[in-house]
Amino acid sequence: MSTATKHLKAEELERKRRMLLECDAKIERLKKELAAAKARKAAKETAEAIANAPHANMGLPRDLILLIFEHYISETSMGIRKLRTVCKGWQDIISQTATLWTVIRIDMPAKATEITPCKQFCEECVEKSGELPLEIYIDFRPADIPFADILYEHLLVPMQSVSDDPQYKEEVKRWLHKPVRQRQPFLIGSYQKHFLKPLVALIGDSGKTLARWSSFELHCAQREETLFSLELLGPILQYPAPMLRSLEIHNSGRYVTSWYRLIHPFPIMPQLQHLVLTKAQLPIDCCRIDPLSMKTLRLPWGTDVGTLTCALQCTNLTTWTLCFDHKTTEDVFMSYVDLTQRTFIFPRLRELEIGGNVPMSFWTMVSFPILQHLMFADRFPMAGFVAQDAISIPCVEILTLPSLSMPGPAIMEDIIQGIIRICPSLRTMRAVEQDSESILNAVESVRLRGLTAPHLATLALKAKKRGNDSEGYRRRVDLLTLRTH
Amino acid sequence: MPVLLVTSDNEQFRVEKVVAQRSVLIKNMLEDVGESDQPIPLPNVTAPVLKKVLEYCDHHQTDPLPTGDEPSADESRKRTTDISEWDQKFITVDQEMLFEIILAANYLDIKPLLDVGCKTVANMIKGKSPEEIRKLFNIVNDFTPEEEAQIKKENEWAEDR
Repeated sequence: MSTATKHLKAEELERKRRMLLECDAKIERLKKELAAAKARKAAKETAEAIANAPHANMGLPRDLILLIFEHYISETSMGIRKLRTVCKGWQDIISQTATLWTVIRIDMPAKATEITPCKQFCEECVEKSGELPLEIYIDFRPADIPFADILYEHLLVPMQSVSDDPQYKEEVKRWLHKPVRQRQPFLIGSYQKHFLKPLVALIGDSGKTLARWSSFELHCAQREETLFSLELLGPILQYPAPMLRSLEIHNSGRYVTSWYRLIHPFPIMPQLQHLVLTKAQLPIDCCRIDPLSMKTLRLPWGTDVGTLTCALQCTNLTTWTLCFDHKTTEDVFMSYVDLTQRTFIFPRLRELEIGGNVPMSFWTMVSFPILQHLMFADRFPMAGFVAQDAISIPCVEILTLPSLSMPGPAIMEDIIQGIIRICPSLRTMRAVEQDSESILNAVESVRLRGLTAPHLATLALKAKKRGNDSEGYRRRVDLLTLRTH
Repeated sequence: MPVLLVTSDNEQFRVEKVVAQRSVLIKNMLEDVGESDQPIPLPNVTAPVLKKVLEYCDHHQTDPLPTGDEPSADESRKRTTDISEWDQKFITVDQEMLFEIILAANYLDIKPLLDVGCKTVANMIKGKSPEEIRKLFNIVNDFTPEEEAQIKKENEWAEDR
C-alpha cells in the first residue's frame, strides 16, 4: 500500500472516530435531556395528581393538614413514616416539612429485630430536620421486661441475636457460665453497644446532634434492676447541651435513683428553663445552668446542699417543687443565719409545692410576693407553720393540704385560724375527703369567733377514687353557705 | 351590646359581643369599625357552620384568650391530642361538618377551636393503616404499584409508636 493510500485511510479512520465521539456526546446529551424531561413529566404528574385528587388533602389547605400532622406526631412521631404512604400529597408535605421531623418519640427497642428500624428512624429524623432544634422523648418502659431479663442466665438470647460475629458469640458463651454479678458489666456493655444504637444516632459524633436537643424527656423502666438504665445513659450523654431548654427524668421504679453518684449527663445546659425530676436525682449548680433562666424546678426530694443552694439562686422561677431533707435545708439556711433581712425573693413564683420537712427558717428567709398556689406535698407542718407570726403569704388563693390525719377539733381550729391569718387572700382550700368534717367544723367555729377569710369560698375534696375533675377533686363545698356540689 | 353577623348564605346571627370576640378576626373588625351596628359579613362561612362555631364560642366565652404569641418550645412539646369532654361531644359531627368547622375556625381565627378540630382528625388517623386512612377520608392512592412496593419496603416498621 502506497503512503498516500495509507494517509487517506488514516484520515478516514480519524474522521470516523471523530464522528463516533460526536455521536457519543450527542447520545449523552439526549440521555440528559430525556432524564430532565422525565423528571419534569413526573413533577407535573405529581402536581396534577395532587390537584386533581378530589380529597387528597381532605379539602383542607396545606397548612391545616400540617397542623393535623403536628398534633398526630405529638404522641406517635414514628407514625409520620406511615402517613407518607397514604398518598403523594401527604408524602410531599411530610418530606418537605423539616419541623415534622423534629419531634422524636421512641420506645427503646425490646427486641433485637426492632433495633435497626428504630435507628433508621432516628437517623432519618436527624437528616430531615436540617439544623432545627430537636425534641427527644425516650421511653424505656416498653423494654422493661427484656432488659431486666438480660440480666439473668437464660435470657442472653436477645444479646446473641443482635450479632452474627462468631467471636462475639464465643464471648457470650464464655460469660454465660459466670455468676450473674460478674456478668453484669459485660451485659451492660453489650446492651449499650446494640440496643442503644437509636439513641447513639440521636447524639451524633462527639455530641454534634445532641447540641441541637431543645428538650429531653426520659422515662426509665419500672423494674429496679433497670434503674441502671441511667448508668447506661450517663456515659453516653457526656456532651454539652447548649440548646437544651427542658429536661425531664421520670423514674417509675420504687426507689430514687442514685444518678448523682454517677457521671453527670449534660455538663453544660446554659439555656435550661424547665427541670422536672420524678424519683431521680440530678445535681445542679450554677456552673451547669444559668439560674436566672430557670422557670420550672421540680425536685421531688433531695439531700444535695449544692443543688439547694443553686435552686435558691433561681429567682425567676414561676413553678417550684421543693421537698428537701430537713437537715440539708437547715444547713443551707444556717449559712445565711447572720443576715437579718429576708434573703431570697422570688418575684415571679406562682406555684410552690413544698415538703413538710423544710425548717421554719425557710418561711422567714424566703418571700413570694405573688405566690397564688401553695401545696404541701407530704405532711403539713402543723404548729410550727401556723404559729409563726412572721409568716405572711399575701396573694395565695389556693392552698392544697395533705392528709391531716384527722387532728382533734382544737388543733384543727388552730390550723384554720393560722391559715386564714397567713393567707388573707385565700379563695380555695383543697383537702382529702376524710378531713372534710373536721375542716368544716373548724371553719364554722372560727367563723363564730368572728375570724373569717373574706374570700374563702370553696373547700375542694379529693377522694381516694379519682373523681370527675382532672386533678381528682370530686366534691366541692361552698364554705359561705356550706353547700355541697 | 350584640353584634350582627351575616353568613355567605345571607343568614343573620345576632350574638353577644363577648361571644363574637372569641374570633380574633371579628374582634379586630369590631376594633377597626368602632361602635357601630353595621352587620359583619362572613363570606367564607355558611349558616349551619357558624351556628356550630357560635355554640363553641358561647360555651368558652369565659376562657382566657390565647395571647397570640408563638408557643414556647416547651408548650409545643407538651402538645397532646387530649380533648375535653364537652369539646369531644361538641365535635362529634359528620366528617364534612368537621372539616367545615376546621376551615371556619381557621378563617375566623379561633385557635382553640382549630386545635380541637385538628386534634380530632389526628385522633381519627391514629392506629389506622394507610389503606384505612384512605378509605376513611376518601383519599385516592396515587402511587404507582412500583412506587407503592418501594414505599411499603421502606416503611415496614412505620406503625403508630
